Amino acid sequence: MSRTLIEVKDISKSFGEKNKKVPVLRGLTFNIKADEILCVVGESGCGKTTLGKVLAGLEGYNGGSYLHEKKEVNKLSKKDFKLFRRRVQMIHQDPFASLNPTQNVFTILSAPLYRHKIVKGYQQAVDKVNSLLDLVGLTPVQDFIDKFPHQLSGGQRQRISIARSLTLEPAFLIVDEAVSMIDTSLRISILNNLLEIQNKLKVAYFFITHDLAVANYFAQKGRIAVMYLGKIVEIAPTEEIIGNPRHPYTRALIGAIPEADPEVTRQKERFKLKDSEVPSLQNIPGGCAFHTRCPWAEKPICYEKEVRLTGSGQHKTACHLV
Amino acid sequence: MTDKNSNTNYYSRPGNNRDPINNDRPDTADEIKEQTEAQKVKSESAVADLDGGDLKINPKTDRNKLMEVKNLHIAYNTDRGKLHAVNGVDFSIYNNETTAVIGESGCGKTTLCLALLKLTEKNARYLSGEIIYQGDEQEKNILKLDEGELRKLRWSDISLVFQASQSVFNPVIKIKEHFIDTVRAHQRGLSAKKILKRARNLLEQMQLDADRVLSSYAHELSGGMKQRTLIALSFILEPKIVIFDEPTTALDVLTQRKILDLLKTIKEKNDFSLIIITHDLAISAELADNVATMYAGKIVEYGPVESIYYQPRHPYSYGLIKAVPKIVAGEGEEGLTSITGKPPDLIEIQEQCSFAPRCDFASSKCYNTIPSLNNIAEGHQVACFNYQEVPSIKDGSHVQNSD
Ligand SMILES: Nc1ncnc2c1ncn2[C@@H]1O[C@H](COP(=O)(O)OP(=O)(O)OP(=O)(O)O)[C@@H](O)[C@H]1O
Ligand SMILES: Nc1ncnc2c1ncn2[C@@H]1O[C@H](COP(=O)(O)OP(=O)(O)OP(=O)(O)O)[C@@H](O)[C@H]1O
Ligand code: SF4
Ligand SMILES: [Mg+2]
Ligand SMILES: [Mg+2]
Repeated sequence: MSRTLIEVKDISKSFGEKNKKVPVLRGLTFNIKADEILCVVGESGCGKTTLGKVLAGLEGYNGGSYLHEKKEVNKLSKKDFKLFRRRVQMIHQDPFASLNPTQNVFTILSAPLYRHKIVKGYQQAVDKVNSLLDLVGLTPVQDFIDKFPHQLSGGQRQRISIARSLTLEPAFLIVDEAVSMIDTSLRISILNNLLEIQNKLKVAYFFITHDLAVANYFAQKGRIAVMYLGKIVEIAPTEEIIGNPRHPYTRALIGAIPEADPEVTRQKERFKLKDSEVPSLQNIPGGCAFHTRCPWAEKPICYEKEVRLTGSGQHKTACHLV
Repeated sequence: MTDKNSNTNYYSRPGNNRDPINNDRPDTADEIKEQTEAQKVKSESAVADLDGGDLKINPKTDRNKLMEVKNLHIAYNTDRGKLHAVNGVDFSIYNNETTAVIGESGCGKTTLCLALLKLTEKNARYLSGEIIYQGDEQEKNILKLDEGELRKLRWSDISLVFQASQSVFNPVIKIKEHFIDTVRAHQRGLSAKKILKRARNLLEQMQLDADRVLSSYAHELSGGMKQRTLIALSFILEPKIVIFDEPTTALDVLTQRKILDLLKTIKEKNDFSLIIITHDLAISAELADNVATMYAGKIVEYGPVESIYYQPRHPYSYGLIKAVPKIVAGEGEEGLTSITGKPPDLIEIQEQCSFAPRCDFASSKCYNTIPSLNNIAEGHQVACFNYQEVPSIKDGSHVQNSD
């Protein structure tokens, strides 16, 4: 068993001023081991990216605790925080927006190397950039090194942003929807590439996706956390959560996914939710926040009583009726 | 023209005999039965010819062609030269069937579908080919129509919902104005009241609160609601062909599920042809009767959905299907494979199978001859010299006939 790298306890985060506060993360608890993959899935707006940014130190948190290597992140000294920011890297949702259009690939990748004094001199930078491009599968390297982002395809740009996140030799990578804009034929090669990188460099991943099938593939040996309105409603090893989902929301998600098999997808069992809209964060339902859509919801418990993530062992669920 | 004001059902149109060439539809129940019996025999023998022969698929043979694309070549004029986005496409749309066009980004899916309405951008050049549409009147070559004639066809015969088109809603006018404007552009005299009645019916079929939606501005609706509203709008003039370019991309799983289910219901209840362009193979698996795989401006395989997913015959279709992660047990554990390499630059003219450099089945012939799209079974065409070597993905034991 490898050591625990990240310990998050009851973390919360809200945006906005005093009486207009919008809670986005509402008390999440989980750990990540040093070489583990944790995938997080959930609908748009449930707080996945916000959680990723908090873990990357790009956003602060208002409550709870976030330990990185046993140290509380918002209490780190300036120097330690700088080191933390090197060790923890985030690959953003939109690769185009996150790459500077006026810099070519070499500049994009070598600037952080120079800035953090990871390389000395031009030749070392060239060598390091070459090995990074090689690692993300952009070969032959000469074809890419002087290209600008607009001269690259979506998949190639995504690889550049992966390569850039690796420049500082991080131990923890937060990957936000890295493949959602990418074609089927390329998607798998990027996922496989990320898995290879993990194999070689022994990094931990926090992998954000709204696609459970992608999560199922990427976290085969890891875990999946399902988020709903700023909370984790179920977390378990991947095989468990896909094969034996407990929370009604997880069941609905799994049932809803179309499968690339005409017969399977047409005969698949669906778990139907109540026909109501996703509540807004300004107006989160009391009790179990899912009760407005949940076909199981019982009065009064689900409507009134807060629900916590419970369960023995690795499989934890936040539902009064599980 | 049919009476589009009848308020019973806005999609169904009287009679299916729009096809003056292939007008052999059976009329009586007995005739139908006879014909299906005959087809069974016919299609089984066709399948037996297919190597492997273990997959039982009964292609429909009583199909009425609504549109036929013949040898279509479209190039975009660009700074670098002519970009051949559609490079010799032959394909047909049949009455009341759902056709999915799949293929990776940039292969020409959108260009092909825009061409069906001649809505391509200004720099597009139609180098050759024709698009024959069997409308209510006599057949027409879409490419020969002038702007006025095309405007008549758009929305009323063929409607197209663009990729990422939720932004087509003008932000400063209410949704109801969109419905009124769209109808009035085709049927001047119609009162707003009649139009809104029709709109309400459609919005309700899309399980929306019709009154609320009609009096909203687009930004007041969620992404899923906007998409459903747009689908309703695309049906307002009872088109015979509806084209959706990436209808659910960028929507959440549960919203996507809702839209897929609604599309299936509308399709079941009404008579129109649906074309779905998507790079998501799960969506085409769920909705399509027939699938066309597109690669580098060409359709390289076309066939019934079960054939394409279980016994694809083109190495590219095979590669795509092998690359999709699934949730069902028994798949995905193995480690999926991607198709190596990238598609060719469409500026360069290929004198070979354009897939050859990425193909695991390529032989020397593939590098000096362009394979043409040939029939290999009833309703199944493929453009590959080595199609017989492509392994099956799933054998016949999983495939059952629906009857
Ligand atoms: N800087 C901010 N200020 C105010 N609200 C914000 C801010 N960032 C995010 N939010 C809000 O927080 C909520 C969660 O957003 P977040 O981006 O974390 O969701 P997500 O799960 O990543 O969604 P998606 O799948 O669409 O990317 C949203 O309602 C969003 O509008
Ligand atoms: N107006 C244009 N001028 C020049 N080239 C264009 C134009 N529109 C599209 N193209 C090019 O034509 C090719 C086909 O584009 P098209 O949009 O039809 O692809 P697609 O299969 O729909 O892709 P996607 O899945 O990304 O939507 C691409 O190489 C694209 O860059
Ligand atoms: S024709 Fe040859 S290169 Fe092209 S797909 Fe078939 S086997 Fe591959
Ligand atoms: Mg996000
Ligand atoms: Mg497109």
